[in-house]
Amino acid sequence: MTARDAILRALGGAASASSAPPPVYAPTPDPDADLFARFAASLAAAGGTARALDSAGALAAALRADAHIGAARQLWSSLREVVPRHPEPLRAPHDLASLDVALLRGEWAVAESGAVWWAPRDPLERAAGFLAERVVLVAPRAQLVADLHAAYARLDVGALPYGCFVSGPSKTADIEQALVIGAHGPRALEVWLV
Amino acid sequence: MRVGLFVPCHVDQLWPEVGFAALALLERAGVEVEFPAAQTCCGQALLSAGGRSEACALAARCVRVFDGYDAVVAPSASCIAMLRVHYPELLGGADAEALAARSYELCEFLHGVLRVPPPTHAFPHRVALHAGCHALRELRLGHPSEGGPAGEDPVRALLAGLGGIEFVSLTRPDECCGFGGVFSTVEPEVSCRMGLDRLDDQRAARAEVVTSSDPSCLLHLAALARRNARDMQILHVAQILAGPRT
Amino acid sequence: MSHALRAAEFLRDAERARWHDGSLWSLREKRDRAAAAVPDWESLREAAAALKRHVLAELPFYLTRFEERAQAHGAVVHWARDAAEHNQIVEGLLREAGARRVVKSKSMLTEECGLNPHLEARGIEIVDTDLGERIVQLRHERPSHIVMPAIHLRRQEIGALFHAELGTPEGESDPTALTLAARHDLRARFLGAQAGLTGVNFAIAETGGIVVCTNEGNADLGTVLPPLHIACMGIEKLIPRAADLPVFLRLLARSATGQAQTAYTSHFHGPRPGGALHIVLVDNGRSGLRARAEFAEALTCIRCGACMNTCPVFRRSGGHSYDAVIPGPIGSVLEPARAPSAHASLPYACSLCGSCRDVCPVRIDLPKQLLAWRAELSQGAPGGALRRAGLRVARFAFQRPRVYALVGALARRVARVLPERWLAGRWNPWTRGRALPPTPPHSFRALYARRRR
Repeated sequence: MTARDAILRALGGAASASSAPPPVYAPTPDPDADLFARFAASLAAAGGTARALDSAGALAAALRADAHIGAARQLWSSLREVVPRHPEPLRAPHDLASLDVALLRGEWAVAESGAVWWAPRDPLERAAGFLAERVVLVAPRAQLVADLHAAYARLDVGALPYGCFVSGPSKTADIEQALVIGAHGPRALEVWLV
Repeated sequence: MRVGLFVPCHVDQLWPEVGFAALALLERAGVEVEFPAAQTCCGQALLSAGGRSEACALAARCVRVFDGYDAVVAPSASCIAMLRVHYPELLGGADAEALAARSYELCEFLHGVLRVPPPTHAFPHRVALHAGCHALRELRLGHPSEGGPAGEDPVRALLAGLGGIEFVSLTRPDECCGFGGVFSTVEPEVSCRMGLDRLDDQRAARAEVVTSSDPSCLLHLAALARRNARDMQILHVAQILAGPRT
Repeated sequence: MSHALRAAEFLRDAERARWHDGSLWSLREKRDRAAAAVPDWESLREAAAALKRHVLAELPFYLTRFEERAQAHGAVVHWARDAAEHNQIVEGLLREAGARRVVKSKSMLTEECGLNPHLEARGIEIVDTDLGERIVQLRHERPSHIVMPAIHLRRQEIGALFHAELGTPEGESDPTALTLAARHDLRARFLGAQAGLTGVNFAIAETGGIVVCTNEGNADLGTVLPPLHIACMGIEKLIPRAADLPVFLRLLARSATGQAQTAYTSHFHGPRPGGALHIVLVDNGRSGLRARAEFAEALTCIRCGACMNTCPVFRRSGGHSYDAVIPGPIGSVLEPARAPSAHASLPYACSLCGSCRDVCPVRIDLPKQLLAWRAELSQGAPGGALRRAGLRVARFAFQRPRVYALVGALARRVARVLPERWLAGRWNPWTRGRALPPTPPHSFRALYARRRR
């Protein structure tokens, strides 16, 4: 008997269907009108910063004006607005070990927790999002929703091998509960909603 | 209305004043109240020590002893929690359910059922209300600081009318005192540490009196206070409510 | 050695015990504030409890559906009956891949199976990358808390550890500086790893995906850099649909640390391009516990640790006093199932205050289960044979009012007459810190009977 058979037998035998459907939770809609303010506050509580930009033009201007981006030795960009200056040659995610900035494209933003759904296209982009010292996540203002229920209703989590709700820079409080930003991953996270 | 007075075994043997204070309060409220002498113990200590079948035997007996009363009232939230929450689960059946439905902690009964006006005699003291875990988290007679199901606190409601009374504000208003039945002797170090932390919190709030609807918590705190030179007057809420006349 | 003895040991350092209690209490307060900010908190708990109980009832269906969907994404799914089988499977996968340097993000399941010692004995280096876990790994000790593994340690102790192991300056104890040192060390390990192991917070049956929540991002670094990802999970970690995730996610981080959400909530569906994903489903006693009506509910636990933070006993005794993989209230229910006599003292490490039940996001009635264990366990339980004899005597006396009254009167008389040092000796656990109880000359019933005459 395989382990699979033994375990299923111990659980009462394999079943092709459940005898009852799973219970469904009906969330109470959040009456809060100012989603951006809520989002910004939630993200700030998690150690990140939020910024609202009115248009694609404003985004391009903000990127040009950012001195840190301009001075970055190694930069990753998933945005068309910025010509990426990848470290050359890029063989593997490991080549991104000294990445200064990663400019990434997010999808759904969640006001309740300051989280943004980010589904990197490939392992290189995924690595960039975690190896960079600073991450700027650009997401559409129109895709800001109140809570995770609303976000998951609009997401197809299994569309790509990897997707992540990012709600702050990497952090830890494992030493005497003292909050330290930048544990293993990025030390700064900014979300720009356009 | 015929009320059966349930006197916890530890009140019967160690703190009879509390039983008489409860009796006085019920008599003054105009109900016919009787102490059926056949009662002994609700069995919670046995259940807490792993003696489920022994606790069942006592529970079945208790159901019989208190048959016929319109209400069963005890100056002890932990005993009533045993009757209301644990007896139906231990015994099953309609009799246990019926007893559970008509069992009340004393303040709950006076305030919530009989709706007696709170007494107004003088009690000009700084009082720390010790929220007993059975009262708060099993009978839901209060608002737990961690959230969860809540209800009105009848102890506070009844004490609030006393002349000059001041309720102090504790840093941890409802942390367990550490008695826990068999826990007090199986883990005496942790039990005492928990109780001393309560006393320290009360002392830091400059309380003069500590009170509760649970005599077992108070006996544990009093024994700690005496041994560790903590000057604190410890009174059961029934004693304060009954006032100087008893 | 029992929990009681280890707890007494822990309390001997009064200042440290007070500090430990304070740290955990502040987490409890953070949780309170976070929960209060969610208007539908109680409905969420209700929903989470209902969903987990449903999954537990329909577990064979959800497991096979998960397996099917995960495989459709290209993951390889393995089944392990027990800890030994789990360890063999993981070792086999690592050998097959030629992986001798492994990084691991937090997984209490791998702790339970003793994976680290198994691999290390076979020449495979496995580095725990969660900072708290790395600290206890370097100290060769168990985590003392399932969410904050190093919460029992002061910064100076961690500083001394890092000085010895990572070469930080002697006397350096600033958390930021120490974390930076760990960041550099672990960054190198992530880059050099040949395989990444993770736990699983939630496995989604409908989509075949797994969800891992971290604040550090270590699960992500550990799975994007090396080509092999092995995810180890207990069979109870399933939830039905992706749409159910928000119910759990909105409860999890708030219950654990008072945050709205962890920094990273990572969803894995099949391997990354150029990589492999292996999921190991582990039973190790779960099917047995599920079959026991009184304890099955404990399998709905989502490992938030809120019960530990609120427990007045845990805060004052520390996780190590439980001498178990999972400590605290939930550990005291799960561990006796695994080793009844070894862990027989754990259900008694509880004053039955009920606070754990109020904070549990999936509404596990922990006090009820602890009481059930007390009734169940006899071997190894505190008091031994004396306790059972005592219970029988108590039942006898309490069923006979005249016997009970006589015994009570006699005990009070003896207590008044005997010298205190006889009554309050080392043998008497009550008097180890408390005065003797009062001994009034007459009981309530005696006085009542007198009045009535």
